[in-house]
Amino acid sequence: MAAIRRAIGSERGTALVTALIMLTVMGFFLIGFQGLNNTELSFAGYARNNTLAFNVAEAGIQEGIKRLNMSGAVPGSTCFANSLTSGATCSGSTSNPNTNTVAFQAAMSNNANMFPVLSLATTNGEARAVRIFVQAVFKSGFNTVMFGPQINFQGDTSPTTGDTYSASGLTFQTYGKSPAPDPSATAMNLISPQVMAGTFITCHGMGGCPGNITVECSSGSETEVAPTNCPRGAAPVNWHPQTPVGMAAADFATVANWCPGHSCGTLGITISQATQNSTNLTYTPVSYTPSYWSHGGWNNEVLLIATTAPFCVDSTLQVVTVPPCVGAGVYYAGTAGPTQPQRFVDWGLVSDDQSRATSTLFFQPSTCSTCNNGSPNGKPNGIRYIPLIPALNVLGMACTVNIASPGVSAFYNTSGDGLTCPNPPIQAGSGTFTGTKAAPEFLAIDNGPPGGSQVTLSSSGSATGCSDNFNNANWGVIVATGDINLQNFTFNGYIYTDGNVYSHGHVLVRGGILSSQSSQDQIDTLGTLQFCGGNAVLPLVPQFYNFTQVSWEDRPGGQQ
Amino acid sequence: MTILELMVVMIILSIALDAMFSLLLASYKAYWKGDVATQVQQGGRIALTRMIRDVRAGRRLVTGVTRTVGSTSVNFNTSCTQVSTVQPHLGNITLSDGSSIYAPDANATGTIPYDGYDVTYYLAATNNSTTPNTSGPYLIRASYDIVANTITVSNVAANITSLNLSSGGSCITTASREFTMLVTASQTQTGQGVSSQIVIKDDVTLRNQ
Repeated sequence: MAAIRRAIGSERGTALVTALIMLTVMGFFLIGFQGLNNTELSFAGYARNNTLAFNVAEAGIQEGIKRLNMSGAVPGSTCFANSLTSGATCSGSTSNPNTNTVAFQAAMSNNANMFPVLSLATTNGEARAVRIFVQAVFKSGFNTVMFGPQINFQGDTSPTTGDTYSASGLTFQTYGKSPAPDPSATAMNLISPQVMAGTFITCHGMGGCPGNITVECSSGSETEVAPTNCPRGAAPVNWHPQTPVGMAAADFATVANWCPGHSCGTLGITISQATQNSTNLTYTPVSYTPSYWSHGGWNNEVLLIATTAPFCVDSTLQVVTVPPCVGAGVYYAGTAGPTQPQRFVDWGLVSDDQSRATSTLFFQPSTCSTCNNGSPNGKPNGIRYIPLIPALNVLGMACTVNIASPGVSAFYNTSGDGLTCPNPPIQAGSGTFTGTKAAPEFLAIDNGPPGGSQVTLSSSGSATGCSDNFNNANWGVIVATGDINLQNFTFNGYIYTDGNVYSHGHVLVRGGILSSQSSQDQIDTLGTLQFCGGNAVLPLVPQFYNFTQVSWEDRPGGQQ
Repeated sequence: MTILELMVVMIILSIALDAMFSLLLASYKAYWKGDVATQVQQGGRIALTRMIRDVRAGRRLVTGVTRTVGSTSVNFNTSCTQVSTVQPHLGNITLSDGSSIYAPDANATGTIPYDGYDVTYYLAATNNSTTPNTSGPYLIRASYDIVANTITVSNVAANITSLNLSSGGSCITTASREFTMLVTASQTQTGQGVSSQIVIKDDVTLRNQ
């Protein structure tokens, strides 16, 4: 018993020690469990922040699309901070943008109208990126062309590389200074610059001027639909008089179906089978679903519609009427009239105006692989069509349209009508255009009706020629209600007016010069004109383009 | 110290130890329960995230397409329990400012197809299997590189026991563009007597259609 007492006496405190050990072990377990919870919490936090960053990046893309459709953009230059974030700034480089910004990256090297939009976002250290590709498509009637109801080239236009469209006639005062065709151009392989007119092309002066040309090609035929060598042998292959004005597919079918049972002749409309090299053109197979036209006698024929007067087509009611057009009626051949020469309205089977490349099927088998040096179905060997450009509401845009930020919106009023705008847009005090590539300008000019007050535009930018990158030229959009005069002007963008366009001195423009469809309007160049075509990066503005998203990509964080 | 005192100490210590061990065992079980729950959640979350990411980037859904490379053959179908998409071709694209990006080749022509990959997700009974099994537990991602003519089969998660893909209350078809993905993840920890199950649901839309 004494030994037990001694033993117990010497183990005094053992219970406490045991309890403490157990508590310590249990504490380790609790710490481990807490660590596990913290890890899970951390994972959940990462996932949450990652999702939030992705949502912000997607919102940036949506904001970019909205801005694009409101104000346009210059690919490779335009950038903005995502409105859902704060404190973000653009890096100055769209190829390496900052986080929480949206950059309109440079256009693809082989397609100036397709460009990526990259949106980067970071939430609590978690980065996400979304990139889309956007295709800009010209609104029907607009293009990177010089377009005017009548065009008169008085000066030197030999440096011109872009296409020229005239809804009516086109005159070269000096044949030797007209745009020369590309050396590789052939009648079946059309290459810019092309000179196209709805009625005739004429020239004067020395150097083999073929004179007034009113037919497209051989045998004096007016039903030929693709350029072939004219009998005179002197017309350059890039000249195409009597080029059709494009019709919507439904409207073309309506005319083709309606005319046989009605008096289309009283409307000035004639329909004939198109030819090439004086051979009637047919198309196989005969029947399509849906059928192109109900008039069975024309099945298998490629048709050509011409007119000497304006007319209206209502494809819903399937009728053709005399203007003014009512209801859903569409107005065609607006610049023609009883005193005007015959105009070609359209040709072919029914094909949507935006997919004219399929016109190759009219002349080549669908299986051809190297047709006219093109592939897989050859190049369009039909003539290009001249669209009727739609009229823009210049005054409607004067106080409401902003160009992409950063950019400048300006309003210049010389009409005395008292119209003013809040700032922005700024009130321009002169005709000096100041927009640059980094900050393009949208200039609206209110100078009254065509034929009245003339605004002379000069620029501060510089470019050396069509091969220049135009980075130092003036960039933007100019719209006017009346006549404008380009004086020693270097410009990258679009010029649109309801009136006439004149030019003096050395004018270098890449983009579009567009005079609306009033038959009295003209583009008259007196000095040296370099109108540049090609695959150029231009300010992509919603007034001239529709935008379509063509791809979407969820980029991993850090991989732009 | 008397025997009585010793007995009291022993009793008190037994009660304390019993309480402590009970707590310890509860903690131990909670640990495994938490561990299983974590694994299930991670599996379900990864499964849904991976599928959503691919479906978002898909151009369209496909079904009835069989791709065979060597001895590996995968059926790309679209149903209640399997989704198959066509992904855009990815390329190194040069931009007009000289920079290049790795992105869907939106302008692909000629020999490079715009379609780049067929990608499918399905459940399988065994690791990296090409034979679907609607009760899992393996979620398989199989992809076919159209340009390189190669097939890659890999596990995404190992505890997915059900996959339900529906649009408007019906199973998805190749006409579906927006649909609901419902993933069920389950797991039992052998020897510990604990199990966990979660159901995660999300909607997804094809963005490249």
